Amino acid sequence: MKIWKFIAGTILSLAMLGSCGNEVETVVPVIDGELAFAASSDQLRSDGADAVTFAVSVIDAEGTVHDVTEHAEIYLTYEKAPLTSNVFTTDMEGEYIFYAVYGLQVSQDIVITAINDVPELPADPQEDNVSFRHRMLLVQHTGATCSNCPRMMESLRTLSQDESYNGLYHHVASHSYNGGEADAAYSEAARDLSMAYNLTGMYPMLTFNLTSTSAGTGLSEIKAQIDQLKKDKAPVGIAAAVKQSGDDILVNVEVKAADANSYRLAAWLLEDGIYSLQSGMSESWHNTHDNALRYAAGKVSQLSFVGEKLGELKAGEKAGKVFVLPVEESWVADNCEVLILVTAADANGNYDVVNSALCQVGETVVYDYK
Amino acid sequence: MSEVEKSFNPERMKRILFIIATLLAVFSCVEPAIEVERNIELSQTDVVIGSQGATVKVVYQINGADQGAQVSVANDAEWLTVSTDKARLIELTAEKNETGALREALVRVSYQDYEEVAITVSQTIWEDPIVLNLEETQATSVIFSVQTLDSELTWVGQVVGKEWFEEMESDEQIFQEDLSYYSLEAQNQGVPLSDYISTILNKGSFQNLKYKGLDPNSEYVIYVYGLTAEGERTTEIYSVPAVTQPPYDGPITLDVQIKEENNIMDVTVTPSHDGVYYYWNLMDRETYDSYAAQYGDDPVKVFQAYVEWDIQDLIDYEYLTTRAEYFEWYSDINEVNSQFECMALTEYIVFACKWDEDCNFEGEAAYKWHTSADVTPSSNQITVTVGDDVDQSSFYVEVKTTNSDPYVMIAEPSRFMEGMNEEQIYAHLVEDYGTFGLLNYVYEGDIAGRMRGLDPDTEYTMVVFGYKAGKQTTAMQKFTVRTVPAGPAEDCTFDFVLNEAGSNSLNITVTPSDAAHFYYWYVYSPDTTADQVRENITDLIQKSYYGDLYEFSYYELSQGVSTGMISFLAPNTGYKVAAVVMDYNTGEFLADVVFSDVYTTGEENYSPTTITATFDKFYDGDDLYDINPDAGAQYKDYAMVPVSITIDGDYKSYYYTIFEYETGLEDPAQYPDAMLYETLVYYGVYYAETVNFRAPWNKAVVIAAMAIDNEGRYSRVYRQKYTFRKYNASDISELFTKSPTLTRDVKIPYALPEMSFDLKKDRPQGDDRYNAAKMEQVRKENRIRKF
Repeated sequence: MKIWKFIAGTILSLAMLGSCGNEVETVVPVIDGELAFAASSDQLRSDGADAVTFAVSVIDAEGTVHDVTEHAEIYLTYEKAPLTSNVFTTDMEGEYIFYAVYGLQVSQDIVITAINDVPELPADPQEDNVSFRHRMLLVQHTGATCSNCPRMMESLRTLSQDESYNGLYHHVASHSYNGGEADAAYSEAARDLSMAYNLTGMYPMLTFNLTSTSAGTGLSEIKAQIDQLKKDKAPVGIAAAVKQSGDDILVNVEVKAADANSYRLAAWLLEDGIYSLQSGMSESWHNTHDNALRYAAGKVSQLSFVGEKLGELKAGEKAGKVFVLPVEESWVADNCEVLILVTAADANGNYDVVNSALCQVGETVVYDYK
Repeated sequence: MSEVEKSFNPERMKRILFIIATLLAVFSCVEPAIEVERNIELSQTDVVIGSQGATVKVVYQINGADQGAQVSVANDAEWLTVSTDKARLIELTAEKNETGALREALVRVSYQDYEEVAITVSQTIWEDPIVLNLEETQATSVIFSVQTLDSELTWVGQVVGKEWFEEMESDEQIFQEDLSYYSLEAQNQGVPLSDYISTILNKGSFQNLKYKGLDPNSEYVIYVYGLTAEGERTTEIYSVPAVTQPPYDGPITLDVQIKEENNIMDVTVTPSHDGVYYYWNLMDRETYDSYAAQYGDDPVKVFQAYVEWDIQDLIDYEYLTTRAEYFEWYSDINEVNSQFECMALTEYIVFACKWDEDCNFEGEAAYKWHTSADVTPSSNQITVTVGDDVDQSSFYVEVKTTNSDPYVMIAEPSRFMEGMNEEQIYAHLVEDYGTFGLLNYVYEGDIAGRMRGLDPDTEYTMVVFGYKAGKQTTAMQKFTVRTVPAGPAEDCTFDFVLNEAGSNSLNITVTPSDAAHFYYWYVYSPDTTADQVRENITDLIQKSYYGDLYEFSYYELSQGVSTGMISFLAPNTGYKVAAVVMDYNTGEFLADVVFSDVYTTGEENYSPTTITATFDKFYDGDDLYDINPDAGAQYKDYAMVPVSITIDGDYKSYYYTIFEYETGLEDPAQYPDAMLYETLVYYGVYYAETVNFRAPWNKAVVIAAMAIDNEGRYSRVYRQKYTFRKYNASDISELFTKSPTLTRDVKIPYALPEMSFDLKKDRPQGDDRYNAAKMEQVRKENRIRKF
């Protein structure tokens, strides 16, 4: 592929008109502007088949975007020769760092993670269907030394047994009260989540999705809020597969959009059956804590839980992501499950949860069609 | 994708265009012979690296060379690292420039016989965004300064123990610890995190910052870092160590200042030297005079006498064992500022004096007398509704107010106030309760509820009046209510209502026909006789309350309507409620046991998961102790039993333990699973599938285990009876043959929990009989310091 390519529009025309039977190789001038380097995904399976496609573009002074992928060189760091195409596959797991050179400009690095052992997604039984059930997120902000918290526990337990409501939400217990004192279910993720919600110390507190706060602990108040927030259809559906791999839990998620929008994706690790003596308890089950938030993948920053970018999706379009959730030594992986959250931008560009799905370790969930 | 070896160069393009155009015009079918320029092009030749250090990438292109050709570089500066490891890139890396001077370097770039090109590299001087300096240490404070490079930089500072600081492994760990603390403080203050952080942020430079309240002669670390209100750390953490000075050993003077507003006395005591232990307190004139009459009109003598009395009083009540503890509790070393609510028109003395560790005053004392202000009358219109709903031991009260001024509401048998006018009643209440005691009966705003704990057939007078700072602020309202006469205990009937039946619980409301009587109630199996109920109650008093009737009556007896949830019952099983009137003081049964209908718990919902808990061998704890006294100490005189569980089916948690044996314990018919669940959940091992238990020799025990499945259902309880005998113990060497280390030990309290098979009854809701004539009240903050 060692060729010279110069371009000159009129000269090119003349050369073609000259038509001497030999092709004249054209030369493309380097376009001045801001260099952009993008990848179709920041992760791929290390199976030799899954691929990431790169694109290089230049935004000129007028704001016009020029695709210069064909004229740029894309390098895997420390490789002397550029890639022979803009498609990358590998059969070795690990992190790969790429950069692009165009003219005398170099791009920012792109890190691609190749993951082995990615759990297989379940087949989509209704490819053309985009009518999904909706489940909101309920976060119970609580703590083992919070003596008022059993009241909320009672309300949520009753709610979970009410068949007209228990299919409308997924529940997370975020143990952040009193800095996690004497609470085996406390986690840094829960602490950060409480800060992200800007809680004002009124425990127990129930929040809905990422923005709504409950007015009280009573069942009727909770139901009223669910009634307000529930939706007949979700703008996006979720399919997922979760498996344990060594000390990690691997989560493969795919979403299918019903409504075109910009979406983000997060995966939260929850643990059941954590024993921690509950202040104010009156029933033994108060001491065993379920759905406790352990780890949140897809945080944008320490205090932002809106999820990693999936980008703009058209109706019917799918996109996916793989998360690697670490399991700390004191957590019981067998008791863990993964809550997947999809957030979408509102008119102001603010993201909130638009659907959620829960997947047990070693299992899969298919799109929940209506 | 095509590859590009040359990029656009206008001059070169002009030349080529000219050549091509000429050739096309003259020799239209001859291929152009393009002459390639051989040179090295760089994306930049003047590079400035930021003062904080960075890597700058320079792209190179070797025109006329093969793809993959790599330049050579020569660098004349040690502070600059130059790398060509990455294709097409020259990476120039410099650390933070802390040399105090601008530095420059020249990098020469060459390729074969090509003309060499040069890159000039420079780096400006690094200036820390924050400079922290320790200016001075005193006995209880440190003085430091913070200079910020940017006057708009916001930052926080902390002073912490050196030991804690050294435990931290990184700036990030310190910051995360701080963030947790900020979050907790925000929670405690009921404000969003950003609001809390805003209150602790400083902006720009400060001189002579003083951090007080430290211990003398102690090691600390001061650290500061940039922080935004959103909780984002913007700089590294800057720290300096600091050691506080030893306490001042010479004489001191103390300054006492008193202000008062709205009957809140604000006292400030300022010692002339930091780090000197001193005592301060205050006393009203009446108390002072009573001491002065005995010890002389000298504040030092009066307060020394008070301290001696207080120490003895605390020792008598076993709150204190040594005078040194008192010294530690009541010593101050810095300026103190304290507020307390004082009585109107009352004279107080505030006293302060240096003292030694034996609580003896020394040196010059400081004191100041202050007479508190009077209280103005309240405009609060208090409307009381009472007497519509009266039974033998309580009546309903509703109070409406027009503002939040405090008021007293108190009820007493009318005979206590008989013949008294308003002034006399007020004097009587102050005499009986004291101005401090009356605070227990002070309310604010609208309230409603029942006045409980009254005697039957008794006329009560309830008085309501505005009250503040020991002074009546509104006219007194009086109401009389006569409680309903009590009938004979034996005539008291009970109405039982089943509110809800769960698989393992019954929620029941018991309403006696006569609210005068105290009664015990609980659920029993349908065939339980009245005698068995009485026997059970007697056992409860003796075994659970160790014969302490006061405790029993306080926690177990009800008066009036009582609602409670009885938990850990067997599913799908009939129970009846038994209630019996008892004497609150003597525990005597005053009437027959009354039974309800039989109520049945919900259908069973056991988990199909099964659990077993077994052991292969057990060992003599004495043998273990002989080999390893540390490991064997808790097993001395006991059998050491390594118990393992096996679970068949899904589960999310499990619990197992060893119970002392009681007749029938191994039989679910006699001891239903529901009776064991609570003890297992409270005391059982839940964290390891094999543990070493401690079991008594020659006594029957039961190993019991339960699992909870993923749906939260409880499994049936596994139970197996054993008796451990020494002669059956395995050789301790087998333990070590199998494993060189012991299985995780269970601490003694978990090994043999004190067993209680009494069914649990939740404390009735809203039963406030313990506080006679007292409703839920809004307590005023007690700002009084020591009296």
